[in-house]
Amino acid sequence: MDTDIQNVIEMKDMYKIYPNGTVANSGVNFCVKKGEIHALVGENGAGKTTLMKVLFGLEEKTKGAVYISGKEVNFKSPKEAIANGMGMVHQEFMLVPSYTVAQNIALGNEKTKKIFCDRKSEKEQMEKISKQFGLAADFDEPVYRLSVGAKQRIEILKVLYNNAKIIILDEPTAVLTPQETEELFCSLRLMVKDGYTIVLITHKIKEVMDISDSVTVLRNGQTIKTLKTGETNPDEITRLMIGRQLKPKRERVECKDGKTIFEVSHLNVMDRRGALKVRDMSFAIKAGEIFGIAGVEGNGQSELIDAIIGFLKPSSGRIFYNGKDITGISTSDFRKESIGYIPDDRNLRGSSLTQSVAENFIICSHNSGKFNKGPYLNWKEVRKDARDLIAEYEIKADSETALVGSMSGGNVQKVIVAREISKKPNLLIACQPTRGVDISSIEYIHNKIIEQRNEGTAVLLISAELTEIMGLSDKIGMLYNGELVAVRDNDDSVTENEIGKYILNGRQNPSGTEE
Amino acid sequence: MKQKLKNTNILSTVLSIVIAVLLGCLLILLVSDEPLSAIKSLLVLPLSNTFYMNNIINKVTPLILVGLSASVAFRTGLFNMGVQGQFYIGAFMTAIAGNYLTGLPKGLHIAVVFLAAVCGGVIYATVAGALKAYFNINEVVTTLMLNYIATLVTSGMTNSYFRDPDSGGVIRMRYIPEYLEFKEISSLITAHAGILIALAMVVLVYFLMKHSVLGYRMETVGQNKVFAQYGGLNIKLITIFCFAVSGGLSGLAGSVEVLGIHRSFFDDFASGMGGDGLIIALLASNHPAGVLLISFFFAYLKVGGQIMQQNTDVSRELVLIIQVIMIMLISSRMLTPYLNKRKFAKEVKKNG
Amino acid sequence: MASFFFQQILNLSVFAIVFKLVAPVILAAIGGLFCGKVGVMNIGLEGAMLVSAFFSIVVNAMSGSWILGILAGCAASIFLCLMLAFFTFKYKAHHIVTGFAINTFASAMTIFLLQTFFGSSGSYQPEKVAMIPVVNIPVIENIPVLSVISGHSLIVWMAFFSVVLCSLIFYKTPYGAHLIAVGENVQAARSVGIDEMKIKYSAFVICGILCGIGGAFLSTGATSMFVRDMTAGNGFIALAVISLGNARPYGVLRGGLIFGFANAIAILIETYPGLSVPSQFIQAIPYAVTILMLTVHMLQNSRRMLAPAKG
Repeated sequence: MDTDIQNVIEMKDMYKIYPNGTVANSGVNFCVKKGEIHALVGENGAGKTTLMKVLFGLEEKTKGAVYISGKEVNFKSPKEAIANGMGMVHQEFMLVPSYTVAQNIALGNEKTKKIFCDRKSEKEQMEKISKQFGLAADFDEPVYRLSVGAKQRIEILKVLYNNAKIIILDEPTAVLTPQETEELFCSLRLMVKDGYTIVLITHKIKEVMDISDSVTVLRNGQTIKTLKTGETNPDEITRLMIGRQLKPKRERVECKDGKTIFEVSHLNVMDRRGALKVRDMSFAIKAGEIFGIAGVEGNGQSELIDAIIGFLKPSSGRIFYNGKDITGISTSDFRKESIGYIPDDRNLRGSSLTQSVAENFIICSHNSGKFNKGPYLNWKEVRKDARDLIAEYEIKADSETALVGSMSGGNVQKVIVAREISKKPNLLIACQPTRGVDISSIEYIHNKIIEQRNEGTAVLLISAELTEIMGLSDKIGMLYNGELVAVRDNDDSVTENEIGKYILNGRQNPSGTEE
Repeated sequence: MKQKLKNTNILSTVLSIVIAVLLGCLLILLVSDEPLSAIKSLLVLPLSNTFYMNNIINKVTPLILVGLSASVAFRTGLFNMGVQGQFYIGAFMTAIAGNYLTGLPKGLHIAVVFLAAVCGGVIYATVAGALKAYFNINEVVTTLMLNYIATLVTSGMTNSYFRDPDSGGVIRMRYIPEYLEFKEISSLITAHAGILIALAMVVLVYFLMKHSVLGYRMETVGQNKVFAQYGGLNIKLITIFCFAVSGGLSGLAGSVEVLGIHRSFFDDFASGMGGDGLIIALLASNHPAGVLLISFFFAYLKVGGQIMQQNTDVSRELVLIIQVIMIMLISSRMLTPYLNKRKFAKEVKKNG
Repeated sequence: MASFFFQQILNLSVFAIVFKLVAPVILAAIGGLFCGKVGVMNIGLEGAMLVSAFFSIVVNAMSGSWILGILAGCAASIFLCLMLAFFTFKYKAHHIVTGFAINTFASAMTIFLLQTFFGSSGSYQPEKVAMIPVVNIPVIENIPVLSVISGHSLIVWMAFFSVVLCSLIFYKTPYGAHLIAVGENVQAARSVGIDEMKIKYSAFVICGILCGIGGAFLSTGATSMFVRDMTAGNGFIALAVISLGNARPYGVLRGGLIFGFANAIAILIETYPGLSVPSQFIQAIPYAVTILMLTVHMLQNSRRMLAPAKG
């Protein structure tokens, strides 16, 4: 049993079945040795996050046994997990926006003097940790002002401050640029050297190869295999993850020089607080062209979109659609144009979870005359149309009256895509169209977008996922701090690294930073 | 699936009502010296003769209207806590228009009286709606404040400016001309004709909610505002429209109550009306047909409560307590998981 | 007319009126603020104050002790608040609905008990009530202008004290840090092992205590009787005061005082000799003032949002 002591985490035959019947884990085995970086990989929906949530006491297991340093445990709450030296950095940031960095790090583990908080001694400890692992932070800044990369560092500092020795990171690089990722990995290496154990959840195979010592592959809630990273290769991991051959991407047909469908010229947009978020932006999209905007989130993407769809009034500049000036159009007029819009926030903007699929389909078309006679809405017609769309777009739904909230993320996204593409748009605006959906849905949506392009639709694609931008776009615009700092044709000369530099540093100059 | 869900909902509503009534009876046993007589007065006597039954119909009329009023707002995700105030404004306008526009031809006068009441309710509710839509002021607070204002101002007006000199100790206006009053429906059903208006409104609101473009829009705003806004719906207009409809129905309720029963505006004459409307809408899950059924049940309890207060030592406030227990059981869906579990067990059994 | 007001203000009776009006509102608002911080707009403040007003005077009359009266009022009020929390958190009922039900329940129950035990449907006026004492500050009460701070009920002082205490709790203690975190990002709080339910229920207990004190003041401090529905919207006004104060303790104090002065002036108008406005109109002023202040406040807020950011 000596070898078992070496395993700081051991999970045996884990089952997790949610009350609604979803099976997330069915027979997972997972072992992590002390002092290693262990990658946990798998597609979206393979059960990685659930497994870690069970481990961390956020979810209750259905069956199975968990050992920490050889001792059987059954955490009922994160509190117990933290007390046992565990820490978790979640996919979504677990930060209180109005609190300062220091307050966030100390949250739940405040030092006290009599009954009051002792912010000073808290800060001393934070500064020590910050220096030790190269995690810079401005402790008095409120968190809502921080960049995504800085927030990520705060999350790690928080875990370290809470004396965690075993650290779980759930897709930490999803929102980071290549450069920020490298910085993060440096810190992780320092931590491992200091005796920390790290579990890294990811679906990026490159990262697995770069940093991990071992890798466990999950698929459909089951452990497929655990490997030493040194003894495997990217192809093997991919094969284990997917378990099948990926369908080839739809062929792109060369488009003749189409006419310009959509144009933005010298656009400036302020957000609701009055801060200038889009600066002097100009670009044009032709028919049959995909224009991809790459950039770290929070660099003006949402303000640009809000200005286009009429949520925000631009402070200057023009927007043209089919040669018509649509600057400052109202949202309801915008939605009457044949423009498809796939918003980035699927559950809030894109769909109404507590309404049926049919009701979600008709949000833009219920008053177009197709389904209504004056004030009378013909539900029979609405439902029939919904059934057709469900079949055509391969949406998995019990029926057209099923609530959207009962469906998986990938299917909800397909509902949105079906609604927007069935409008037969001349312009398709797609924001983060595949965020957080499973691989087969990603494939499906990507193919749909390319299909639209081939049919002569102009596409504006906004994504933080560089592989998506590079895989789909004809032209790539690089967004930094509200400015398009470079626009390039997407040919072989463009590399991920080059885009990364632009969207992280802005215009390239000798010092590498702007201003 | 949806059908199954509905059945469970209806079952849990019925069960909640039964439990609440039983708890009410228990309370009677605790406080009363003559519990059996009290329970009989509350539950049996209302259905014992035509007088009481007609009484129930008269009571149900305004309840249906205020219930519909509240449910229209709930459906749009808004809390119109101001049903009470809008009801008084409607009643007050009815009495004013009925008493002081007597020069008009009779038919026109009737129309004008209704119009005045409905407009009063609409305008009064729209104040809260507009404040919500344009300044994002919480409608719960404003409508509650507007209730107090409506109650006090109508009371002050009646007392100081429009009081009937012959009213004695009661604060009220003059009685309206006889031709404005609702007639009895028939010699058997002596209830006033207001019930017909209420039933017509049930149908109208049903159409609005379930089969109209506006109903779809209101529901979508109620379910997910951001989605609705992104889909191009004008949230501000829909908010105001919803309050207007809700207020109009409340105003109409006030009008019907004056024309059918009181024949004049009395100071603070129906203080629980707004609360009843909200509770009915909640228990009915905002469905117009549900509003109809629950209103009848409430009217029955009210008549029972009155008989009980007359005949025995138990106060009729007991009925309110029963209502509160119901609303707690329903709104928290306490019974639903239990019912679901049983259904699940049954299905498992059936499938072997 | 102007000289009349000037005289009244000089007379400083205005302050006495203001404090008396404002104390229960501030207490309830601070209580509501605790609930608001954990994400619940507690419209049950009204009902909580009402049951406290009832039970405090009943126990007060029976025991002859105002302290026991307040304690009984607080117990009843805490019970109601916990009931609201229970249905809202445990059974996921909508808090406006439960709050409304709680208010209806409080009103019905007090009337029911009034009728069952005291045989009256309107009011209860016991022969002997041990009034909550007034604090006279020895030397200061004789100094002309400073005397304004003397001679107020103990509860008035408790109301001001509750504001200070609330601010200290929110911004200086770990409990406050956890409370605000639970309200702003529950996931974040949960992920660091904060017991979300403990925080939420404790906020409602605190709210119950404060509403209890405020309610006791209504029946055994400001008056010496219980009248049906005597809270008359004080709890709802407290909610308005919370948003006037941008959900900050000292903001609540400011909002409460503005509200109080506006009403004191209204009351002075009522007492102005020779004026014949129906008294109901005057009584309606607090509610109208509340709506008006909310509107002005929101207008200011939206203008602030639109102003160019500094830096």
